[in-house]
Amino acid sequence: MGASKALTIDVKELSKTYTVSERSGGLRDAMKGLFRRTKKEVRAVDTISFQIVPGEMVGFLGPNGAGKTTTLKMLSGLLFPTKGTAHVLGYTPHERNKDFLRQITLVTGQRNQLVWDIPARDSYELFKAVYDLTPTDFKRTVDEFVELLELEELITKPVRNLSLGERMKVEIAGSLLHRPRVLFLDEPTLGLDITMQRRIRRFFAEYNCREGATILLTSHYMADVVALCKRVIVIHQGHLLFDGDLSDLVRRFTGHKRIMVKPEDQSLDLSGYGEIMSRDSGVVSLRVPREEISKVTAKLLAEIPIIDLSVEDPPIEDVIETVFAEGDDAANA
Amino acid sequence: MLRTLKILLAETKISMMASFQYRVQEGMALLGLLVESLVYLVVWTTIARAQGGSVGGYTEGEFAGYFIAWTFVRHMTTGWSPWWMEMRIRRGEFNTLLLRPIHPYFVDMGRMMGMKSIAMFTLVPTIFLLSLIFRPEFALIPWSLLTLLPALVLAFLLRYTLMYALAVTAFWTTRVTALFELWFAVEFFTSGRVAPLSVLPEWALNIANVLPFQWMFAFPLELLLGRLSPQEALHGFLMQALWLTGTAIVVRLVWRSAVKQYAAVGG
Repeated sequence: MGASKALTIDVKELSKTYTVSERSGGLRDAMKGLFRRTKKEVRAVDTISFQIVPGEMVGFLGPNGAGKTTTLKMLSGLLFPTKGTAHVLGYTPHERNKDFLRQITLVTGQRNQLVWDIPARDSYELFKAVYDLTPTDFKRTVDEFVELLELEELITKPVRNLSLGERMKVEIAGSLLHRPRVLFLDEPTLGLDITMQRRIRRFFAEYNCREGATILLTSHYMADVVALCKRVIVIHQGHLLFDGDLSDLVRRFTGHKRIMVKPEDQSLDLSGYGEIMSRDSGVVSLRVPREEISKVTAKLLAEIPIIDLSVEDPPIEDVIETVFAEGDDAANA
Repeated sequence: MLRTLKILLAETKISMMASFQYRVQEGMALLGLLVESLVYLVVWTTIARAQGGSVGGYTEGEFAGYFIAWTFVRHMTTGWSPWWMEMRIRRGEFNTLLLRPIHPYFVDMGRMMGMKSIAMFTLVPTIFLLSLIFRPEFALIPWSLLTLLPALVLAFLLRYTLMYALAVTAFWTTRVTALFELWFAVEFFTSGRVAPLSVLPEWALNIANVLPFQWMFAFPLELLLGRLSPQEALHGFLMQALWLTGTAIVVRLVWRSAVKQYAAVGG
């Protein structure tokens, strides 16, 4: 056991560098590779630090290849860091202490831990032995998850006969049977339809509430992050760009807000009030600098007849795009 | 230890359930075993007949006994290939196993035990049928049969652990197939698989004696056929224990650095 017991996750200057073989392609290059290989070092995670307290749900954001999955793998003990330290529940993950492994889980969109040819219920029995669960605890947890995720019909069918969404639900239940205290969720709703995404989000929120579990979530669906996480950590090209409240991220990275206005006369040109972002069913979306919002709103209300008007933060996807674009600029500077 | 045993039994049970789903595949695997043993049986009985009735101390009937028992021993001592490890590593599937608080060594062992148990339902009647057709000659010696089970268990563990040691190299190379092919070639001739060890020329026998392969195949097979003296049996058990201990130590020592080397797919 290491230090930092009060924190659930304590990451200090964590880095991971991969060495990869490089080849430009083609037969000639492939033959050259027989004798001499060009190696290249890729820094997937570069000196990142953050702390997460018990029970917190944190969104971990970044574009593809930002280093999110590598970080999650280091925190769950699958990868050794090249530099820096990480502690989870006071354990050093890469030492893979059995007590540590009993208290965490890593759920990924592609994870396939259930035996394909038999019903999930039978695989759950295996997890009962693996995690040394008492029959009472096991039954209570299975019953609870069956109810929360509506698994009644699903856990008795061979896993291979389930749809992607159904399989994900039984996989998630299997990953949490041992009631882990720390959940690393890597794109848990990948490829699922909206209804299924919502149900799974609700399940994680409920699990966090009931168990006081700490959750670190990566997702390309911003709805996952908005629904579950108050705090976000943004990384880009291995560097940490932002760590704080989601609302602060919006404030910091966008100097604009949106005025959604529905004028009585839909033919009116509103470009004088702000940059027109879209028009949909008579509603015009205007991009206006944050400090001018009250002035422009008052002006609109005074000058033109309006059916409806609201002021909103820009969509989170746009904010994230801005954050990543700034990250690119910083990296290329 | 008790927890590991519980997990091992649970893995075995799961593997048995999954095996029931693949009856055709199980049948084909058994057929493969039978064809191989029957080819050797026909070749060696023909040679024995041509040489006046026996080769290397084996008569035609004793060859029949050898290759029928061969099917049983081969089934009990095989079942895992380092290729599994290679595939898992290359596809990143090893993550699931590494996240569990149990060494993957026991997970695979449980799976094999399950598959072997299910195959016994077809293997035993097949052996009985072969015995009726080929009229094998062998001596059923009570003490020899009593020691057969531990000899088979040790033979299986030794082969599996050695394979595991070989498979662990995949963490560095991500390809072990070539190395496995080399192993397979040496094992083929020095384990008693292609022929009883006593028919090998002296130089080949000398090589076989310094390698571990006969202790994971020929030894339990000859014990089953009642061809070993108590001293030879004792020597066999000792060699199995020595090789197993050495190999287990190697796997244990190398495992930590192997996992450290492991770079899961994706970034």
